[in-house]
Amino acid sequence: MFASLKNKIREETGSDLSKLTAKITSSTVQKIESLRGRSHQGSTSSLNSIVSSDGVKEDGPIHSEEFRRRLSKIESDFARKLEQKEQEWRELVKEKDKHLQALEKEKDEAYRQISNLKDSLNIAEEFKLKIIEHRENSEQLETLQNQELSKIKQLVLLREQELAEKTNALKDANIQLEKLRSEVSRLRRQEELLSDVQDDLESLRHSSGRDLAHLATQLAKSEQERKYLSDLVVILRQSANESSIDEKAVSERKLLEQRLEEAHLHLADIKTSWSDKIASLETQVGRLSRQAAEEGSERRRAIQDRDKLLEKLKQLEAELECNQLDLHNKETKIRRLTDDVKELSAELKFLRTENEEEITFLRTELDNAKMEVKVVRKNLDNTESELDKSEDECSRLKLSVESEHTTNSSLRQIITKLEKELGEEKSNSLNVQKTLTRVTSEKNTALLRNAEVSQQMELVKQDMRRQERDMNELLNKLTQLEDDNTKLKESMLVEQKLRNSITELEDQIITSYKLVVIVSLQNIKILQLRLADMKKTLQQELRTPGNPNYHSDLLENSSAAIITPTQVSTKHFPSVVRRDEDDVNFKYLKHVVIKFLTSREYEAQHLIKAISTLLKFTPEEEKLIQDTLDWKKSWFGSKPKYVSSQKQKAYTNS
Amino acid sequence: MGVLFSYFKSLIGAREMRILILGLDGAGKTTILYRLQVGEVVTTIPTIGFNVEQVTYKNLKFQVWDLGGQTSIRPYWRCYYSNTDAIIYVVDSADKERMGISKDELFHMLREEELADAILVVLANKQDIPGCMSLKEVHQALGLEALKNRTFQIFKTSATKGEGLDMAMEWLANALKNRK
Repeated sequence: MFASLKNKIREETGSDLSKLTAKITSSTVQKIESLRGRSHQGSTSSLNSIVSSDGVKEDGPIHSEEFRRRLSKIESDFARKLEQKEQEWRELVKEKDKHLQALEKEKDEAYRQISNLKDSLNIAEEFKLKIIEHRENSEQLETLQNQELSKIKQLVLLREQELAEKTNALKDANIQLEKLRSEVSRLRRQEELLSDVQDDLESLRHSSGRDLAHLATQLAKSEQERKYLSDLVVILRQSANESSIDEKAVSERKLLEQRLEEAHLHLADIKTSWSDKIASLETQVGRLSRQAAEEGSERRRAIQDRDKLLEKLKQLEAELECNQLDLHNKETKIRRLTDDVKELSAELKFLRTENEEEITFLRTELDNAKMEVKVVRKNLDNTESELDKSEDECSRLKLSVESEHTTNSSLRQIITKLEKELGEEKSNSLNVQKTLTRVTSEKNTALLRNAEVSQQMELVKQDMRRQERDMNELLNKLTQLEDDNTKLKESMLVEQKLRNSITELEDQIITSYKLVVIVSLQNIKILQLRLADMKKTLQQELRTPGNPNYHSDLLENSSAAIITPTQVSTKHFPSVVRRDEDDVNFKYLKHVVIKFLTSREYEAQHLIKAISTLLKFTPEEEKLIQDTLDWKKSWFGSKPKYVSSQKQKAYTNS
Repeated sequence: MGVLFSYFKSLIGAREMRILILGLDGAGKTTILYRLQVGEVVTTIPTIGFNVEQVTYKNLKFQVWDLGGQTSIRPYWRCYYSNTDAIIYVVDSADKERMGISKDELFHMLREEELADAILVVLANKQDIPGCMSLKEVHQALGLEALKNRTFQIFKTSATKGEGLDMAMEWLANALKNRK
């Protein structure tokens, strides 16, 4: 803070504070000294300075010059001391500032810690609330589960009751069924009786029918008898009438009439007896039919009863099945419910354990949080104590700062004075600046003029340069032309030399030609000589006996031998050409012979002709080779070569 | 052994067809021969002498003789004429200058009595060379229209590329079968 101020002063005045202080009068110095003495009474250096100044004051009036010197010295000393003090003071202030900043930082950290701890406390409280909520939830769940369990139990009980009722109903139905069954069995016995009775009835009917038929037949017999008798009577009467006096007949007739009457009577008796019998039988039949009707009705009733009972039985059985199914369903339901109950209880246990675990966990967390809170509180206390300490320090520092401020204000006063001086100086400088601006404007005008002049100068220079370039080019051309000139001269020289050399070479060639011609002529001569030699040797060879063509050759060659060497040379030219052909022919022959020797018989046969033409075989020789080949190919037969070779031998011998 | 083998061969009666490949030197006779035998292009040197190879085509066995065509050894062709079934006369289609010589050689050859029954196949070879004579031009230059009483056919071929040879051989095989 103080340093910045000092810097400002330095900037504005342009001189150091020490110099400024040197200018200050002794009175002001003394004032400062007094001020300092007050402010730093504790420091020994300041005490010493005071002592020394006092010493100076004692000696002061004796010598004015010395005094002045001393004063200046003292002033400088004081100035130095002041600087030192100021520096110390600044350092102190800096340190304190640092300390303050550090304390503030610590404070901030403590506050942050506090806030963190508060947050953790809040979190712990939240956890507590959560625990409570969890507990409530678990309790609610337990109650709900209990309720559900009780409901289920009630349902189970109801089901069991229903089941008991159903079983009772089933038992009753079973009893009824048994009763009905016994009735049915009883009715069966009655049925048997009924059937017996019916059988009896039928037998009786049958017997009565038979009796009736028997009686009817008897009646018919008796009526026939009666008719017969009446006819007899009629016949007798007629006979009686015819024989008029037949008293006997009359008596007979009377007898017969009596008999007839008796028979009539008898018949009537029988009739009556039969009618009685019939009536009795009819009554019997009626009774029996009545009985039968009664029994039938009874039977029908019994059957109806039986059907009804059977239906009932079926119904009861169906009911039984239904009940049994119900029972099964109930049982399964009960099982399911019991399973549910078990599951629910297991879930309950699990939830309880979970809740307990959660509670324990939350408790531990709470404990931890509490511990943390305690620690944080401790920290807080510590930090607060630290804060107090730092605040104390702060207050102390503030006091010191205030003291510094007082000194500062005094310094400021000095500064204001200096500033006033500075203002004056500034006004002076402004005046100077005005003059300076005027001078600069003049300078600018001068510079402008200068620039114009320089531009003109440059233009002139450019012209100069162009002219120089042209000059250079011209010079270059000149040099080139000179070079060309020299070259031309050189080439002329070369040409002359070449011409000379050509003439020389021509001379040389002519001479060499001459030499070559001479040499070649010599060679030709040599060759001619050689040829003559060769001819001679050939003739000698031809003259040897045993050659069949001896005479002819001799004749030919004798003529050749006479021929001059020049003619020989001309004759021999085509033979040289033929040598090349012979070379080709020789190669051909070689090839064909190799082929002939290496090829199969079939191919060889075809080659015989070629070989014979090449080697100019006689037809016999050709035949011989042909035959030998055939012999080689065939399995049997003698070797033909032998015979032909003998022939050939004979030929050669002749 | 060779005697036995050839004897059995004569018993079986599978006579090989004897074919001559003729033509001026450098017409491509040797190249055609080996193209027919191994189906590949071989590097050849001028033939002084001859080459003979067995070629089997469509169950027909040919004994193919490739005779050197240089001027000095051309006279020896006549040594091989006997028992010849067919002649393959190869012409270099790009060699217009020697076409006349080729024609003379061909007609000189055909005048031989031994070749009176031989089938003639003219191959206008080297058709792959740009600027060569066409089939018609070769036909005209050789004066083949003058040939009468001879089964002959002209084909354009390229021995290096293997074009036209199959067609020529197929025709030749059919002609030889028909002649039998």
